[in-house]
Amino acid sequence: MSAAAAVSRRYRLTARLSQAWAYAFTGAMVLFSLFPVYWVFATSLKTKRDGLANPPLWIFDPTQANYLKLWSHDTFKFTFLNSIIVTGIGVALSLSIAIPAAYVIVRMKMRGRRFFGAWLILAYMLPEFLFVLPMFSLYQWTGLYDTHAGLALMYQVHVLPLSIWLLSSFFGEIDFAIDEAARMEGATHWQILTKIYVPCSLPGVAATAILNAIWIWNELAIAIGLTFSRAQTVTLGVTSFRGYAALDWGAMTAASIIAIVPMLLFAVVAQKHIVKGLTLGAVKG
Amino acid sequence: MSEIRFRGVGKHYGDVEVITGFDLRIHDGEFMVLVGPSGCAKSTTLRMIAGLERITSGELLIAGKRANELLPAERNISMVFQSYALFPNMSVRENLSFGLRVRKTDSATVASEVDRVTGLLGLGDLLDRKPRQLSGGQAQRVALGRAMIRKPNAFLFDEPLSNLDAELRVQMRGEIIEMQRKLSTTTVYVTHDQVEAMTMGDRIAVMNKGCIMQLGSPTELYRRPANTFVAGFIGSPRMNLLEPGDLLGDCDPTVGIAHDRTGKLGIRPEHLLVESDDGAVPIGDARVTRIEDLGHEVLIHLRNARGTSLTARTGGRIAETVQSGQTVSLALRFDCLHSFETATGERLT
Repeated sequence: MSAAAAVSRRYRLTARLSQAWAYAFTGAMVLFSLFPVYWVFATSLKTKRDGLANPPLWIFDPTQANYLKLWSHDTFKFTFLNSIIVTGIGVALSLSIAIPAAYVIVRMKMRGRRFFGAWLILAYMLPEFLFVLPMFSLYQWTGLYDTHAGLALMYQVHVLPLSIWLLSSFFGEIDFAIDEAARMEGATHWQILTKIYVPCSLPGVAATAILNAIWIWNELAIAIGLTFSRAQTVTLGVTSFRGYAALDWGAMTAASIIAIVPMLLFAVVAQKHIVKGLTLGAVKG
Repeated sequence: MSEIRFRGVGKHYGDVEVITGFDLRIHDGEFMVLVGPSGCAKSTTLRMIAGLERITSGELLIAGKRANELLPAERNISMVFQSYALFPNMSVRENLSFGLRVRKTDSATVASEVDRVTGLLGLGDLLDRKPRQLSGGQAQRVALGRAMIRKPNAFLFDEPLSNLDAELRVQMRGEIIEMQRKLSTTTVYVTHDQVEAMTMGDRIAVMNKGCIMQLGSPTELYRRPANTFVAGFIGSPRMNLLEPGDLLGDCDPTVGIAHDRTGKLGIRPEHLLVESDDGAVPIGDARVTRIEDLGHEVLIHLRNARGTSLTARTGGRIAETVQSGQTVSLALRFDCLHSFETATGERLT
């Protein structure tokens, strides 16, 4: 065997080994992160006795009793519907504010633009409870407490900064000459935004909507603070299986699985948009 | 009437003065080229006409009316951008008709205007394509069509050919000239390419640092450059600009031309004769440092005994007799010399 062939073989072997390590590491990380989901799913399929067995049972007779119990549990169904409504309002509200705001930030010379950018990041980083406590009284006074609209409005404190920040970067990728060309053609800013910017950034808008929906759907802290019964969301619905003296683990884990299904389906269906949106402009063509 | 007139126009960015006291009159139906090096404010000037840049001082008149405060859309001017700026989410048809649609033109008129423009520019087969499916030349043609469809007061072109390859550039150059002649619409064309400037414009404004260095026809600019800047900028290869005595020292026959030895001399490369005394005055020998044989002509780069670098342009046949490193005799024709004042660079003769 020639020296060159030996070097080439060694190179191929090293490349394969490092690839194998990468796969092994990624696989371990996936298992680690998915294990809690598996545990919740497995518990949801166990009888009460199997669920509480110690040591835990790895092999058991699955049951659908816990899922059937959810069907007859009105509180859970009600909170699930509430979550759909609040998420819908929250996403629509965030996009309808963030889209024009991002356009203004990107395309118009505005004083204090940098300060505004810093504020966006700061607002995103603050804990939710910080807003709940002062808003509690205000919400009760204005009648927004325990309403879908009130909850969706409060969620804007968190999702708006992220949306504006994300959409600004998507809009910033559009050649400014396109904006100028449209102005020369007689288009207003609103026409430029709706007829050019939004259609051109559709993957980015979709990614923003999806990320917002996931965050709103999974939120718990604000929902605890600003709802009581009428607008409780599914995250609170899951906790409704906790009694004073006992926990219905089976029903609670089944509720958790049902609660994550819509966002899971949403993420899977829209994965292409999320990836495309979040990598928009990362590589210049 | 769509005359465009600058009256003492100034443009500042904060404390930075880009254009001061700018005066220019672009006649109705004229093809005006603004040419100059990067940063000379030619694009800023164009963008002020478009309404994309605010005018700090002075007055801009379009068709006799003050346009300083008018929005771009209110000026009825079309612009073709360097990057074409086609709307990526729209088809060619939608791109062409965009301006008419946002102005709420009725659909029958929109359709007939699209037909007219596609017929003129040969875009018929491309109407349903998206910009990403077009070649550079096709995209440029669509941008032209979008500019033409509204029948504007004036066309503005901001280096529209700089993204095209050499062959397509020549072709598009011809198409733009033809279109302008056919429509007789006032046109302002910005470029840094002097070949485009010389071949397209009725008049050329050579700009530097926000000022017009010379305004005139291509022939005027080439034959009688008003200053050393224009002399050096117009013409490729550039004019040889020499201090008196750069050729032969004290016995330099050109010294007499330069006033009291204070003037600069300009010699176009084609007026510097190599190995030829065809009625010309000999100005000594020089060593050939490099030869660029372009086939139809040869550019000979030389250095004389005084260390002066010169460029000569001759017919193609000399490449057979002259080689790099060889010493050749030089001569020039006095009637083709240009002279400029050293201090101001202004033309003397």
